[in-house]
Amino acid sequence: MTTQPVTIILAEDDDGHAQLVQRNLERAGLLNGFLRVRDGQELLDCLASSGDSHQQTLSEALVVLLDINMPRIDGVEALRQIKANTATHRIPVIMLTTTDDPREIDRCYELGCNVYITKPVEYEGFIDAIRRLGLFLQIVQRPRNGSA
Amino acid sequence: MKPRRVTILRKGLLVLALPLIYQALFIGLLLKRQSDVGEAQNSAMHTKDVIEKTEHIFRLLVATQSSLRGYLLTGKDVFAEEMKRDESSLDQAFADLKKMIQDSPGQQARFARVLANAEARRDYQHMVMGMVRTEGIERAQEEVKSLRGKELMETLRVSVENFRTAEEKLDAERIEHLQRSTATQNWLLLAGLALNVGIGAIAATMFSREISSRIAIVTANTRRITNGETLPPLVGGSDEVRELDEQFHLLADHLKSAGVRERVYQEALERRATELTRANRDLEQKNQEIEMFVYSVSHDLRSPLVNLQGFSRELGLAREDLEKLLQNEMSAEDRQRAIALADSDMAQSIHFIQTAVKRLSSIIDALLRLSRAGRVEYHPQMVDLRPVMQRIVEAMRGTIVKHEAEVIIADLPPVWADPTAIEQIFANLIGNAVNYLDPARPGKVEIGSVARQVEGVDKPQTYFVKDNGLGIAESYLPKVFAIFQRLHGDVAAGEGVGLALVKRVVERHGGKVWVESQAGVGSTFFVAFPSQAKDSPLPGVAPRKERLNVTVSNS
Repeated sequence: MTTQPVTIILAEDDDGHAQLVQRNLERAGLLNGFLRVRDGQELLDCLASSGDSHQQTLSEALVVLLDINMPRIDGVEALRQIKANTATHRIPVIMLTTTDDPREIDRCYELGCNVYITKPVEYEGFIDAIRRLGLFLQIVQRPRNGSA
Repeated sequence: MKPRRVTILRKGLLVLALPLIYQALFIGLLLKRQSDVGEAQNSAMHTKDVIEKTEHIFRLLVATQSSLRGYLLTGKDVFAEEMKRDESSLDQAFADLKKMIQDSPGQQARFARVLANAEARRDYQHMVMGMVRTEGIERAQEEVKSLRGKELMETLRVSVENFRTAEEKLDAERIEHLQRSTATQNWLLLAGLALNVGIGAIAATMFSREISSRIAIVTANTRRITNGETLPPLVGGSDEVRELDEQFHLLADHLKSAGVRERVYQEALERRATELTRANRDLEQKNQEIEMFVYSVSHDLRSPLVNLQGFSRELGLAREDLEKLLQNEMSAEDRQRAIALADSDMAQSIHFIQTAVKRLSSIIDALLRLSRAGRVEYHPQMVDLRPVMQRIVEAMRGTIVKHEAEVIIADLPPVWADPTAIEQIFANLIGNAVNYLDPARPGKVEIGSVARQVEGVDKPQTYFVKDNGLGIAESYLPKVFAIFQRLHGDVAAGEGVGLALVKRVVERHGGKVWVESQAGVGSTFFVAFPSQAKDSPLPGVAPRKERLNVTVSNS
């Protein structure tokens, strides 16, 4: 259970928030694959490059943790682009944000986000969500990996 | 005294009175004719009676003559007695006839002659009778043979005949008179009828001209009022029709002025409605801005709060770990772990907590600044922008040098604004332009003025700040002036308040600020201020002709 081969990408501009997420993932033993980017643009660049050069490290199983309020390309726009791209639209996305505006939440679900978590988070709940999602990913994606 | 008015009632009475007069005349004539005819009949009857009575008298006279002859031949008293009886009848008949001709003096004279002749003859007869008794029949017969009696009888007969002829002539005269008067009456009746028809025609014409045609004009006037047309001058006369027309003219005037008033109200109402619609739109926009503002503020306040909560919890966890380590006899390894906890975990947590507190504090400061920009009292005046630009560029010299930027300030017309506020606005715009230059190419910032029509700004005085910096993506343009929105958060320090502040200050001056930009090419910020209400610029502030060029290069 503690050695799931799931890579987590965190897009977060606030260093403090990133640190907190990282520490909690570490405490839960989910940190074998962890990558942090600072905004939406960086995330999209990272996902695009994973299609070719970093295939080995990132194609196993991916979860994206996405903050909404970021400079350059914000979380909602990044989500839209991920879900609009056939190469990346299968990647589960967890929106992680301070906003509890129902319109924003609805918009994120419309765009295809898998989970929406409002900060400040109860980290136990947060970790649980990621763990369940990771488990689910393993089950769903194994046949595809097997055939590859 | 008021002159008596010829009312419709009076005119109507006049028209009615004319036939009435004719009818009265007609009835009078009829009555006269009836009485004339009656009288004629009476007089005809009377004449007949008189003639009959006359003939009766003549017969009696002849009878007395016969009785005398019989007495003379026979001497018998029977004849004498008969004569006596006839004479008394004669007396009665004469009395009757006298009564019957009382009203005719001509006939009375003739009657008197008849009566005298009759008496003369009777006297003669009585004398003959007396002779018979005294001198014998032969003597009496001798006397009769003298033809004296025949003479008397002839005279009497002639006088009676005269009387009778006169009576008949009188009757004929009466009948002729009646016929003449009847003819005159017929003429009068015909003339009256013609006169009546004529008067009727005249009355009808007069009524039509006087009343009907004028009422038709008034009726047409009411139609004109309905159609909102102008009325012709008042109809003539001084009767009720005139009065009615006067009232309609008053009504028309009243309606016209009411129409004018209504139009004025209508226009005012429409103007007010337009103003209200605009105010409503402004309010709606303001409301949206406030919602956006509250959304941004709550989000930005929450972000450091997440750190405060998360890292204080982290601190708590580290403290627990540290306590566990300190409870036991400390091995070298434990000691290392304790030092690590204090050095990295706890120090990091404290660092983030302090950063979060600083961030919260600066957000609150920014909010206060923005609030002050809304409250501070402005003292607008004509501001010469040249010294303002010089001060701003001077204060930013370090940053400009760092970015190797060229700042070009064109000749700027003066602006009607608060001097402090105008400096604040341009400092923010120029600061942004310089801070977000593209390091890949030489920076260039231009400040100038431009003639533009700006909706909602009266006679706008428009300035621009143009750069060739990073630019703004189209999707981000609507958020540019919202508070705490930062596109290039990693490029320069700031709270994301500057442009929100600029917008607030410009709008408080009754102006507008907007941006045209293209990502990777550059941005141009426009600020439009309304011209001063009074068109006179302050003395001593004339637009400058020379060009102010501030070029700062890496020295």
